[in-house]
Amino acid sequence: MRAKEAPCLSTAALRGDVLKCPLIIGGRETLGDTFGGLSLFYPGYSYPVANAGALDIAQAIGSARNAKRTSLKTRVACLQKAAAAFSYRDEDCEHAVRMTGMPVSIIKEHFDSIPGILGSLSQSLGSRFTHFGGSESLGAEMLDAGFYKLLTPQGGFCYAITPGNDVRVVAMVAANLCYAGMPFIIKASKEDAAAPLVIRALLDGGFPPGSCNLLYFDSAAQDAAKKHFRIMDASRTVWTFGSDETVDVALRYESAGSRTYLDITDLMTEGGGDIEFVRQGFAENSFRLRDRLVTKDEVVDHFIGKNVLRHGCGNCAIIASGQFDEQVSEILYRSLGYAIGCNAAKSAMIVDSPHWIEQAADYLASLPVGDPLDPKTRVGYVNPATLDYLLGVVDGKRGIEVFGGERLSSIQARPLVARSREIVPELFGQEIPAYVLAAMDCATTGEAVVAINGCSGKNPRLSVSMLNVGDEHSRHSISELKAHAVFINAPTTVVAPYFHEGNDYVLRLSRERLVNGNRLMEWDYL
Amino acid sequence: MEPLCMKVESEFIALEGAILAGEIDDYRQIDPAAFSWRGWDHISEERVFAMTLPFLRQQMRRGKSAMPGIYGDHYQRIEPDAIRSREDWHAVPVLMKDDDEETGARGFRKVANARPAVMKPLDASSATVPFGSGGSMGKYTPTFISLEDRAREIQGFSRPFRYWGMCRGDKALYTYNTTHKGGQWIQEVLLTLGADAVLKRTEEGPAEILQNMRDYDVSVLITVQQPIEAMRNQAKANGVNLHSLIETSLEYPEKYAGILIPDADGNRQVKLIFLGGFEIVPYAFELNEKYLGNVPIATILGSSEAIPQAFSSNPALAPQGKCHYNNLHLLQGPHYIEVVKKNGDKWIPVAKGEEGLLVYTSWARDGTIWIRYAPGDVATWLLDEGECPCGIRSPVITNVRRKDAGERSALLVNGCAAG
Repeated sequence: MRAKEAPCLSTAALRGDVLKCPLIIGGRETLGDTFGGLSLFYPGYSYPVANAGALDIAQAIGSARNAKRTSLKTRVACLQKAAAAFSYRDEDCEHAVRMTGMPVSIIKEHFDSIPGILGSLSQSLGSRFTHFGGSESLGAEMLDAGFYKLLTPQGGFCYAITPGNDVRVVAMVAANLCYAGMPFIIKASKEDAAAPLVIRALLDGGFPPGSCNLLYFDSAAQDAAKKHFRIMDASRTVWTFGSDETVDVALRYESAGSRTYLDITDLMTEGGGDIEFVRQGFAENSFRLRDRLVTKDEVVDHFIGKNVLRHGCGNCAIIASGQFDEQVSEILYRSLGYAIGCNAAKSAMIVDSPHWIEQAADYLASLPVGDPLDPKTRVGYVNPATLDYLLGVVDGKRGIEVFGGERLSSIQARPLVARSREIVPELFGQEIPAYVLAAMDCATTGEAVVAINGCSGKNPRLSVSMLNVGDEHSRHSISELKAHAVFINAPTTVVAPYFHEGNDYVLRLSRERLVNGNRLMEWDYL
Repeated sequence: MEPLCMKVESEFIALEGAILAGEIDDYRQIDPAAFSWRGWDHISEERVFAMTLPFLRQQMRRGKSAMPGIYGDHYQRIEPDAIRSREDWHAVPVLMKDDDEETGARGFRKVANARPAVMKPLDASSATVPFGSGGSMGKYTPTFISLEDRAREIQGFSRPFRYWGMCRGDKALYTYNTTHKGGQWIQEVLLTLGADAVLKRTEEGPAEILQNMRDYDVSVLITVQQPIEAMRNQAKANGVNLHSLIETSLEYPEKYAGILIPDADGNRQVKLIFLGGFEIVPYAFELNEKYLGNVPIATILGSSEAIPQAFSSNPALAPQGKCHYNNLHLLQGPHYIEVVKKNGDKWIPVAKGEEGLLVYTSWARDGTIWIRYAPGDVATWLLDEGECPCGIRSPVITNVRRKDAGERSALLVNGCAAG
């Protein structure tokens, strides 16, 4: 079902109606204790977000752990029904605009794509994976002859911590987990009011109440870490979004104080393990007691023993060649214009196309800039700190030619294209959500691939789009690109039903944790 | 469980007669079992006072001679044998732990802190155990209790349990710390009633307790629940309380549903919850309503100095009563409980609707003698005697709280709610 075209200011907003982000646990919705969500872009816009307490979390864990497991056939049918049941209102759209700063036209498209994500995933995954057994089949992927990768752990639930910069994410995550038959608890971002809509649709579609649980809690509160790790420790699978560095600090490791000890390793070696030798030395104070005191921070790694799915950071890129035509401009907009999305393009390597960058800059400069709630707007708002940083990077830097980027307010600037003769790490190697495209001319596709790979950092890029790159070059380059997904003449922001092939969002056990030998252990299906 | 019985026992009438006739003039002549009789709760305040007056005088005489460090100066102008009426009794000064500027009362905390043994009467021939109040600020002041004192209090303590409908064959689990007086007394009361008592071992957590409840068919849960703000105290948050039992039940419904939280069919093993501590806090009501389906909850007011003092009834057995939750019937015997206010140089009972100091006198006590001792609690006089529709005659108080709000906060976070 589609919402009507969003007006500039909704009647609901004028009335002061507020959107709510409730908990959905075991099929029941509650709001209960709340904390305030605020918009960075619309001062005064606030709304209540349910703040899950310890007992809500316990209830969600109990629901997920005891959720009824249904057959694959049932799950597929439920996903179809959920796709048909999904609906949203103008207020939902407007809320997402207020929270993301993205134009309402894009947000609306995202909402409209959710039924497709829910409904078509089964077919995509079904064609990829083999299923064994009768009515209650197990999904598995063949690695080598006789060697299978089991897709779904046979127990437990998934704990997914989802971001607030894309209303489609919860649909993607939930659809994958529902297809795999894995109950879940999603801890949604306080910005994300679309999450309840997706969960409601799944429950309306017939998924067992305990299998789809949604929590919010105040991540800035003192007890947030305790709540998070409680769910984490109870889960079997964890699904995170963000770079490894960010996730490890924010979600994975927990400080467990510190311990101090005396390092006498060298003395034990020197003295042949003779404690008396060491004791004597300390008594005579010849071994510098104080210098040997070592204090080490202790951390608990909550990922140990879990299946961890990481949706890394984006830092998506484009390799373009040939003409900058209307099709390319539309693809560019859909890549760059999803500014805060994980898979928005941030850099472009232009191969043997001398005017491409200027033409792209002209095109981007022509895009209407304004209030994202205005349906005509195509360039929305950006976090002021981000703008300050990026504009500061390019400002006066030698070797960078800047197109556009006029600052219109603290939260808005015209799209900026920064043409550089060499790699500038701050522009080419970081995922910073804004309407900023770092561009570089390259002589060959190979050079472009090397440049893209060189500044991708520790993690592959989420996606790279190849625009008008000749078939011969693209076939060769695809295999060398350090990216999870490569799109040919399509935006970086394409959301395949199971998102990115390389990341493999369908659940899997790591190779090391899997079967011994070359058959599926423990099950009688083979 | 048994329905309530309100009849005054014939033995109680006989005891009253013997006391008034002067045949019993020493509290030690009263069999501890007498404190389990309902009569204490069903006669008028006038009759209660008349029965206890000989022993109030007895303890005043003892206090002067056997606890001179506490009562010597305090009773310089008081002659116990001259106390013949309630008006005379009102002139007996209130004993406070700390100096009180408002009333001019002098406290005894410094004396007791310097030498806790002063709290044991010099004439106490029995062996005693000093019990400290876990809620005291700083060093606790001990109350010395003999074996007979213990027996009397436990018999008195058993009355609320009977009013709640508990009887032989019932099975109760309590999570109290058994090194605390309350924890020990609960065990003995249950055994006295003929009910099975399941304890919490030190190392047991909520999961083990719930399993014990299932294994032993427990229908009465005796535990605590701190206010939500006290849950921030890590030590208390890690202890066992109603919240943690519910939390574990919710997390493992396949194992524990139907014990404390209802199962899918709405059945629940626990039929009554006794929540100890300072008061039944709002968070406990919230938990009960949201997760337990409104199990009957009740409480007993008591402290290491004097158990019992007051109690609330079982709402399921006395639905018409106004004595539910934090509205408490006074429990006279083995202590004399009052709510008083200063009036000139006297301390007189408050009127209905008024708030006053909660004071008690341990008139049947070998060990530490408390005479009109005000530990710092206040209460509001809600109903006069005979006004509660439940049928229990004794007056009803409510809104029991610490007089010092700061001390209340600290107590709530650090205090005795023995989780």
